[in-house]
Amino acid sequence: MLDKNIAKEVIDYGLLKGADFVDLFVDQQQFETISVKSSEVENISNGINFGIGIRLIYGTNVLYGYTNSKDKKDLIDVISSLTANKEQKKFESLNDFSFTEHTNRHLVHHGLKNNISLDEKLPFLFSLDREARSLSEKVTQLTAGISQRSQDIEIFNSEGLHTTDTRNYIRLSASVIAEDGNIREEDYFAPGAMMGFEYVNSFDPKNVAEKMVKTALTKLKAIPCPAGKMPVIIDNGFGGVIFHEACGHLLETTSVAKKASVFHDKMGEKIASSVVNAVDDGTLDNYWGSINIDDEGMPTKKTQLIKDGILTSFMVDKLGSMKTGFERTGSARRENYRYAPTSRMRNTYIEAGKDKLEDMIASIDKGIYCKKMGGGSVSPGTGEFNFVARESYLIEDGKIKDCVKGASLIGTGPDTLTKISMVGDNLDFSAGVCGSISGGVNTTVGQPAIKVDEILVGGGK
Amino acid sequence: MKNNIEKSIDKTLQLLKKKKVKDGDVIITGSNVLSLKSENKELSEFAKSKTHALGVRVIKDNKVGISFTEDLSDWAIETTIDNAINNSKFSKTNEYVRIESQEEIHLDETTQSEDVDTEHLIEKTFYLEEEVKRRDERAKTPPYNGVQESESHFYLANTHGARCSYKAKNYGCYTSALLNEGDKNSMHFNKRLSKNFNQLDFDELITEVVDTSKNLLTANQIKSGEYLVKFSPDLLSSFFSAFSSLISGKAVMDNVSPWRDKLNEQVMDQRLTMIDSPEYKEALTKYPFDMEGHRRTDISLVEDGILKTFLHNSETSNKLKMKNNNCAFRGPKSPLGVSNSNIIISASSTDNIDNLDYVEILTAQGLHSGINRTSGEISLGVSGRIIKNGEIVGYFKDSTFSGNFFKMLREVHSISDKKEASTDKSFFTPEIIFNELTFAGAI
Repeated sequence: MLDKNIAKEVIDYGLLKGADFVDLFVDQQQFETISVKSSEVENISNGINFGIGIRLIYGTNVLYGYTNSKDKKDLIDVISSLTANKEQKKFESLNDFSFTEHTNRHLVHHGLKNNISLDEKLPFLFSLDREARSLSEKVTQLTAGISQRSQDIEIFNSEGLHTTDTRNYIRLSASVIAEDGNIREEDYFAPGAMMGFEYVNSFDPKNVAEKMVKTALTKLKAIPCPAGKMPVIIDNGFGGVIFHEACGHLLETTSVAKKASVFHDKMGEKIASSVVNAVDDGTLDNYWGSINIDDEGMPTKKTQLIKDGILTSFMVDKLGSMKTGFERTGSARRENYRYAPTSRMRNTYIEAGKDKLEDMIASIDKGIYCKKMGGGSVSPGTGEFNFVARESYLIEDGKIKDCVKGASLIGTGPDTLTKISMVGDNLDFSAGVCGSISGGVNTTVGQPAIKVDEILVGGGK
Repeated sequence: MKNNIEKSIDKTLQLLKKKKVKDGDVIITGSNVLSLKSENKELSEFAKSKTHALGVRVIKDNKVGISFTEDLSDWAIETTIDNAINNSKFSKTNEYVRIESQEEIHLDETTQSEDVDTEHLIEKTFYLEEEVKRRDERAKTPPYNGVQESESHFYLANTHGARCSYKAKNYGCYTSALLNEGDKNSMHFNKRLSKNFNQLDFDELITEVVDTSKNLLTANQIKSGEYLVKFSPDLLSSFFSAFSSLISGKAVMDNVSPWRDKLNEQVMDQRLTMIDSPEYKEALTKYPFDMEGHRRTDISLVEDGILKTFLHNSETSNKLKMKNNNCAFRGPKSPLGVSNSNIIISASSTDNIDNLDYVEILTAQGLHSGINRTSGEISLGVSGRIIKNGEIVGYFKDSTFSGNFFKMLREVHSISDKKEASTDKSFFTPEIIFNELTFAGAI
């Protein structure tokens, strides 16, 4: 995408201005979004984003700029404005780039570069709409969409690295609203993968509609959730969002290096219950959070974060490595050229244990079973979190009872990790977009069902 | 002399004409941003950027197509127009949406902002960090700490002759106090925004984040029960943003607005009036035109608690047979919708709240997830302070609050005559004390 000679001249100029390290991130992304609402096409949109991010590292300080242009003059101008107060110095010109080709482990058939017609995509969404509305007259609205993105990246750096990668993403999103009198409830389904349109075709619209409608109708009958401290079972899949938000972010060197994480000095120490094993893995074939190489050009890998409750690794990017001394883990990521890369999660999950969900339920006299979790937020310094349960039930005398509404889980990540007493055998994954200082990146969260012995539940009763 | 963005507008209109698009418009947004962050007395970020995006919308045979590009070359603009025309072929028939404005509206607010030397911005970035740590020895390096200068440009033009532009320049600073003592941690974050750098009060910001974090460090959970509640203006503003479908004509059209059947009914306390005010004098951002190229004016959304209208664009007003009040919104990459501008809440009568006992919520976690936009239920992790007889008697954290937003708006306990504004100066309200809401914390 960028002429190699221009890349070399721009990097040389950065070195002339005293930088210890310079890299260029050339980023072209193609988008297509189609959506259906009220049984009609709601939106069809497509477009192209293009830009180049330039990073100059002085010691452990970063100067970062970007532009939509690939002209040499514009790229040099970015460096000039970033280094206006820097002295020129003698430097060793880069000889040449050494091109590194990486194995593409994510086979894609119908990405946007081998796109199929909208005529072939829209029927899936209309089918979903028909199926959902046919299941109950209480279904008053269905919205569904398919978003595809193809990202071509090219990386050059002052150590001679030149590499490229192509990433194809697809996400199906659907939500249904059911009404009964003045009560309105909803459910949604939003899986994603590093694939092309063939991913959507792997779903049966009838099955997807049935699951969503069943949940929305069940929630119409929900009673207010009791509030207070109690044991909670968080089921598999998107339940892993709590580990992601309240623990995962604290294991990124972005917060570890500045000692803003409570785990910054805990390497090798027990930070979780012994039944907890956690992983961040960028290598899973066609997973939503996977990559071939990270956004600094390093091949990605599987990183064991916690083993038997003991902290075994952080997620480390180049700058994080320079600041903490830990080896890079291929975790440098960013939303696009507008952001400098930082250490970020990929596919992050608690590994499967041996417990059965029914045994976990049976072990609780009074508590909450969170079947599906919703989103939440976390205070990065303290790990304090708040997550809402999208579908949850009372547990009484070891049995699942009424569906409850308004349940939210409040706690701190480090504390909650020590209170996990049972880990299920039903590991599952779910797609999400994680927002942090280098923008929104695709990440997978995952876990089997887990039992937390005590957690503060917020509710309406 | 036309700048590059204006030349791209001309080029797009020429190509639309060449391709016989009778109804088409183009939006270009541009921004120049300098972002500075510091860590341990060194700049951890010095980011400078200049970017733009162009979005085209066409209506052909009563069908709408959109497309966008960040590349403003002639080739890219022509491809974008072709894509928009192609997309329109697959869209639903829509006889309601119109491109018809012929207005010319321009507002340049960058002249109100003085230029600031980059070295001075860097000094202030370091000052924020150092001063937070100096004020309390338990403070660690602030996880969030920086200064930003940003200039933004909006251009809109259409095939019927409309030409609109808005330019603004803002400065912002933000910091956080992360305190640690033994096994106790607390953090408080806030920011300040202004058109003029000299009006950013760094010391007042530092005092707020350090003092609040200090108080939260030793705070405990609130005793479970029901309390009268006051929300910080930022939090109340966030609630109105999260429940924007209440006043959205598009949400009414899509049958998803909880207030869709409430026109001319009481939806808020009868003392409250809510206005959408695009050029409110004290607001940071002005909205002289909507994204269909029509001039925006003040709109009374709720008068004395009664819902009077929704926010409309050409499509929602024509479909719902209501007056278009020019609240169309879209960006270069997004389809047509509606959006509020600045929200001003006022009260017809006020109360003395000095002798009240209530809870003031300062921060909440889980805003994007703990809110059910359909049912109005809210359940959030919160921290704040307890007020008795007008005095702060304690702080609390790690607690939850729950209630129903729609009910809260109707059941206000008291309204003070003191006015408050959100940090981004887009939301203005008197202090409102809401009726008893449920908190869970200590038993």
